[in-house]
Amino acid sequence: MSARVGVFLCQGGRSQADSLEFKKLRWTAEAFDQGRVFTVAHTCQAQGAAAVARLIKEHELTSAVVGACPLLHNPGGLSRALSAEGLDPQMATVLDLCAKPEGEASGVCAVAPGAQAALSQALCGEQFKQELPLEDLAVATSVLVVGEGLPALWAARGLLKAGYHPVLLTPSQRLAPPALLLGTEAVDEAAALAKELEEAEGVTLIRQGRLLGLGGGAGNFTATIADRAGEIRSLSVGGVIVAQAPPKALNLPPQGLAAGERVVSLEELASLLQAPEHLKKRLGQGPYTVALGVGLGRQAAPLDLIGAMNCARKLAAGPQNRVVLFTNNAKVAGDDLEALTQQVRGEGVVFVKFTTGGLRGDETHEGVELQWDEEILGATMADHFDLLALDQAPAPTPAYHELAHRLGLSVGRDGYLQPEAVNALPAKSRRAGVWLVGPARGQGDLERWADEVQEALYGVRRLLAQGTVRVESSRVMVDRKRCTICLTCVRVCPEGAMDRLFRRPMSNPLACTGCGTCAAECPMEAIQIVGQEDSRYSGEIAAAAGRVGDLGQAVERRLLVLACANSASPALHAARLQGAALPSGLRLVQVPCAGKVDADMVLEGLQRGFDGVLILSCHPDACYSLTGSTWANMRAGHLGNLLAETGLEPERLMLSGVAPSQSKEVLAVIKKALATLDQLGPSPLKVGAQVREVLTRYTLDMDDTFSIVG
Amino acid sequence: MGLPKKQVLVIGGGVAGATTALDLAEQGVAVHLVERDDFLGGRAAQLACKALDSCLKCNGCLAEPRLAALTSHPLITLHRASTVANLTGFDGGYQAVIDTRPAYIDAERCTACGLCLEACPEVEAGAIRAPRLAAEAPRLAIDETACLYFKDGQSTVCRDVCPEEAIDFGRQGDSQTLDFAAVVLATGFTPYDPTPASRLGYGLFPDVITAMELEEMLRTQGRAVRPSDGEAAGKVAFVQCVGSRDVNGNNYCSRVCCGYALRLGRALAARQQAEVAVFYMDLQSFGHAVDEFLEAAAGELRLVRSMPYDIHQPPEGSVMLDYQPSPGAPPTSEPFDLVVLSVGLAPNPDNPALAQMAGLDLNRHGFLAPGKQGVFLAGTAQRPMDVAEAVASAGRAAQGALTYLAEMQP
Ligand SMILES: Cc1cc2nc3c(=O)[nH]c(=O)nc-3n(C[C@H](O)[C@H](O)[C@H](O)COP(=O)(O)OP(=O)(O)OC[C@H]3O[C@@H](n4cnc5c(N)ncnc54)[C@H](O)[C@@H]3O)c2cc1C
Ligand code: SF4
Ligand code: SF4
Repeated sequence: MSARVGVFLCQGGRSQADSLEFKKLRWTAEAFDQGRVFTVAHTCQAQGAAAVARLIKEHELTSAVVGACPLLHNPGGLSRALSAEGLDPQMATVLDLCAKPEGEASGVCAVAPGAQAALSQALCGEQFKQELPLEDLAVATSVLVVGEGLPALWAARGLLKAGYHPVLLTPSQRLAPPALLLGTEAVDEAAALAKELEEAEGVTLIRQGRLLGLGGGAGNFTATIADRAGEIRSLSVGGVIVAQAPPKALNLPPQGLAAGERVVSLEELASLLQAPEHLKKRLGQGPYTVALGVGLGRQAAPLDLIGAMNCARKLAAGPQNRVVLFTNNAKVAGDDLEALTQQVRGEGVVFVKFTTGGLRGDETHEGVELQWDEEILGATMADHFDLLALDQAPAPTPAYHELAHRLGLSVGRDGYLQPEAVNALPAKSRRAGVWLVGPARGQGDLERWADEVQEALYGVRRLLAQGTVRVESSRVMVDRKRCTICLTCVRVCPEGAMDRLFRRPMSNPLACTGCGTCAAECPMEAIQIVGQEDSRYSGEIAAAAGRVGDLGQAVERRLLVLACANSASPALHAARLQGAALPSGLRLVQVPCAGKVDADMVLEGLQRGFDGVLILSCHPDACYSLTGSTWANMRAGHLGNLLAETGLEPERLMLSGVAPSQSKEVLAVIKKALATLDQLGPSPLKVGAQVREVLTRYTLDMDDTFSIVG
Repeated sequence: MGLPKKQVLVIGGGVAGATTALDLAEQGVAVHLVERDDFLGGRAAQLACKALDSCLKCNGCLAEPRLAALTSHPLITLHRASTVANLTGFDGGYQAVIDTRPAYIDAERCTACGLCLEACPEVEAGAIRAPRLAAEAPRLAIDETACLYFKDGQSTVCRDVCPEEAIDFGRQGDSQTLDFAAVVLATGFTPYDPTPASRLGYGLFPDVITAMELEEMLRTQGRAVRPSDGEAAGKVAFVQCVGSRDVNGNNYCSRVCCGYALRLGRALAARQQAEVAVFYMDLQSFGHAVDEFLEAAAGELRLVRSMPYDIHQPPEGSVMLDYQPSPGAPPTSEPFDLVVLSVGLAPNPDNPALAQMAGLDLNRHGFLAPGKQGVFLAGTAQRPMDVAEAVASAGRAAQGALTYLAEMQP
């Protein structure tokens, strides 16, 4: 079916339909030969939106551009009306073409300055809309779970219950929870669960396994695994859930102490307490004086405090034992931990908290001699303890780094696998189809970990369904003739969606979000995204530029804003709904992600006579496509240098991060950018744009003209 | 096993309810979402972005796209200004009576021109309210508890001034009875109200505000001002653990306050060059790259381990905080432009009624505890959590409900 585009123009609540500006809009719309033009009224109200939806249905339109005020832009308005007619709620592009005339009362609308340009821009974009065929993809229904603690066991059981085949890869021999939780219900739960999984049918258990590689992509990974005997096998898995904690080392206070017989981990103490004869062997008959330290080096987490509390209570139960707990920030941010600390104090455990000072000491074969500054008494204290037990902090080993690398991830600065991006929360990783949960992500507690596991299981359900998924075929087109297989796209894709199939890059439609980062970064310009082609943006930018004006004519300074659809666009929309007017001299082009903005777009803008370009992205680390805005930042920095080399002020290219809730800030950023342009004065390239415009008036195609002139 | 077709009731339209509803709808399940307030979004829709040049990872913006998507999903039916009046379990499902308050402002007509807001004498008291989210379709709502008409029966300035004739005080509410296969409670928390603790000066002194108010102020105005004179606040104190870790009150840590206060403090220091002090007992931040975060915070803010024992503000003067700077040191009194009380997450006062209706128990702090078949919990209705955790718990609720529906279906 060929495209039938409807162009709807709202003539406003009352008035303005006869104005020249409105007529000009109509003419622009009518000049677009693939569409039909409709004039409607009151699109700010439900009846107007309903009328648009009705007309779309009646005329069997395949797509629509609606020029109205921001009120219709409300997803609740038009999209609900479209759904009510049984139409695709996303089929219409709504343009904000309305301005309330200064000082006028409500209900009076006017055509906004720049509306004509915005309309032709949208109509240009309309020509690139393309629906791609849906395909049924077969995906693997096995899921790899890496880890051996309780979260890994939860994940495996959840998969089994949901009808998937879990492959549980444990780095060690035992399916075991951290010993730290000894004495809590979690231990019994883990033991029961381990037993259940060992006996269950439909679970593949690979103990002491090692992941050698994870090829392919979301839905169809190939995991290469070496088992205990060194036998290597290849498994086809649809997704991966990683719940493996990094290896840990004693969280030592900064001064003087080292791990030894008498300076041990809380985990070790917990297992000693589990078997009193071992404790006796190590420390003698007792009674014992034991020091516990939590978070004295790096910050601890509630789970560490829970572990310390369990040990403390067990020790304090012994009649003459003495227990002192040293900490700086008592992390009581867990369910009932506050009450638990109070109870433990009541049971005779002494708490010493440091603000600035810390614990110093030496280990002897009899125990440890500890010194500390008692803040409340203002005195230095010293005491002998039979044992000092400390919490542990991540100390990633080469093997853990390797595991991360094999998974296509990396170990973060804090030793965990969680990526920096806030949008990877709560359970995503930098690679689609690979989830990070529990102790692989970072510090937490069991409640949070349990939720993360379920969130990942929901992700698996969404990705793999029952083994076949219906998706739109890939929008990412790699031109084989241009591609030199440099694999830049594979490296930059925020989702790890670029697979290497027969060594050639190919985007996986199950993972690709269409952010366009690959297209912008490809040095050979070999990648186009269907619907977001380079030609679309050059067309839109040209349309947005509109007429520059005649040679020698003073022209208003103009700013091209390339706005991220996920952050800047909603922020601007919110600003408009709050009644703010956009400053004049501004043209907006929306991009799927700032990561899509390439040098050509910026240069096109400058060449078309814009005095400057402002890229509005998400804040770095808050990008909705994880790292798109980071790439945009790097590219903008680079491009600024290039501009400087050509003699153009690099300040003409600006980039700013905004969050979708920052409706005030986004306007402030734009105003600041305009002020910068006011200071810089008109762009020297503007004259060129004016020459081009004069030349195109003489019917010759612009590029031909330049080849003739040039 | 086909996609479950039965419909699910989600109570609460905050980020947890929104995420659960979307997760279910994405899997083809029809959802009815009941929100008590006139608008969706819950508390997460009040949070401000705290980014400096780079994101500070407050998680605030995780809520935005989820809440926006909620308003337009074809499988989700929204019941705003509504409550579940009754929930009766029957074989394999629940029957819910959903009561909707009258919409005195017709959302189908209102163009949000704002004339009524200008005309209303009680707008400060919240008689006419506007949504926090741009994506909200009913643009304005009248609050019966603050509107004069419902007191004197004759104040109708808004109705008279509305050019769209959208306001009608005679409108009636609505009640529907619907059947559901499963129920999700995502009814959230309530920020601790510091008014009764007069020692904190809240409600007594104008420049003592809650962190919730600061979040909203930053979100809507982009900066922190002193309520007494509207000037940008140059010196700001945060007082932690207000309504948390209190043996005689909420005896638990609210988990998010240290995180948000340090981030708000850093944002104020960077954006308006404010001098910021944070009064705390223990810094609870944990999770991701904490050491680095706390180090940066310690460099930019004054972290004082001491809880102020008195807050007062002389007329015409700045708020004074009385505290002991360090153990053993003499108490001092220090002036601040703005004192922010980092209020904790208290249980929703509706919890006892909700628990009774849904056949659940309350935990010892008054949050909802899991229990009943076919009833799932999401978000801060269960315990304090941040937005990311609320999203994860919503995933868990959705996953639970989907599994339950699949098992129920022959
Ligand atoms: C001052 C402050 C600052 C914070 N800052 C941050 C931050 O920076 N980052 C962060 O991650 N988190 C922050 N939080 C926590 C964050 O607000 C919560 O994690 C989040 O709002 C929880 O969402 P929710 O959906 O569980 O609950 P809510 O946001 O409370 O939503 C519950 C919804 O249910 C509705 N409801 C309640 N009862 C009923 C009923 N009986 N019937 C129908 N509907 C009902 C409510 O109206 C509401 O819309 C902060 C909290 C506070 C108090
Ligand atoms: S468009 Fe974005 S998500 Fe898709 S393959 Fe390219 S970089 Fe990856
Ligand atoms: S600071 Fe918070 S709201 Fe701002 S970008 Fe980061 S996570 Fe989002």
